[in-house]
Amino acid sequence: MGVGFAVGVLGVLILSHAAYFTIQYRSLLKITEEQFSGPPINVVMELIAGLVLCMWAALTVPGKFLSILPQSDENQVVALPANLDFMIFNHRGKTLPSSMDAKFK
Amino acid sequence: MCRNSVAAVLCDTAASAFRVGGRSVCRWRIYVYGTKSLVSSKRREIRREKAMASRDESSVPRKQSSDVADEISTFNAENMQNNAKIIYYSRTFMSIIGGVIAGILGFTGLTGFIVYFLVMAITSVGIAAKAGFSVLPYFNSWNQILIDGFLGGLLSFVLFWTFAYDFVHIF
Repeated sequence: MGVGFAVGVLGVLILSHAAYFTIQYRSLLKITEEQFSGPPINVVMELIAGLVLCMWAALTVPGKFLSILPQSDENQVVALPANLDFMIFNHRGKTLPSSMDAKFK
Repeated sequence: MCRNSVAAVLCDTAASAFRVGGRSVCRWRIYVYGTKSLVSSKRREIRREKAMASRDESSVPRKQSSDVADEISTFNAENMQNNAKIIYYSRTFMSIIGGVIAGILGFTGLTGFIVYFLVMAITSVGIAAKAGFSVLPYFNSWNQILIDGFLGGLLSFVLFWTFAYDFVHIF
């Protein structure tokens, strides 16, 4: 999480540097009175690098995917709530298939 | 507990509305007095469905088949929500970054929206890679990975696109 966050910040810094360079490029074009047709090639390279870094950060920072199948390993752990006064056992869960290898957490 | 008829009787709902185990859960517990007949008829129905499914061999997307137990589809809802939340965060962040890039490059008009669709397509590929290119342990269908939330970041994209364009090219 820390590494991904740092990579994301680095990507945003690269993007802001590219923006700053483009501003400077435009002011240079204003001096020489040319039209802005496109940013220079190194700005495009910086933007692609920033995009790749931010993509990597966007995929790793929010967290891992968790399995949704009830038979997978990490879903077998059973946690009883701390307040035992309101626990009910005679409910419709008896119609669900019961796996006896559930582990108690 | 109140049991006064053969039909479904609502019991201890107030108890369930309290916080249980640190998470606020609101579950309505319905006690059916003659529950055995209902369960057995449901099992007959499921066996009929299983026979029909094996006959024409089409898989219903939300059902899982297991040899030992009946085919009642249960998914871990909390993990489904977690996965959907991760996809939403990733897409939102990439829409913002795509907007900044479109603004810096100086796109105006429809070419900017082409940048948005390109960035969203790359994000879809990235999310599919994160899920290991197989849909099953994490999602229900490919639509949730590839298509859901595709246009959700469009407004954020346009906002940051105009912001970056103004910042770089106008001011």
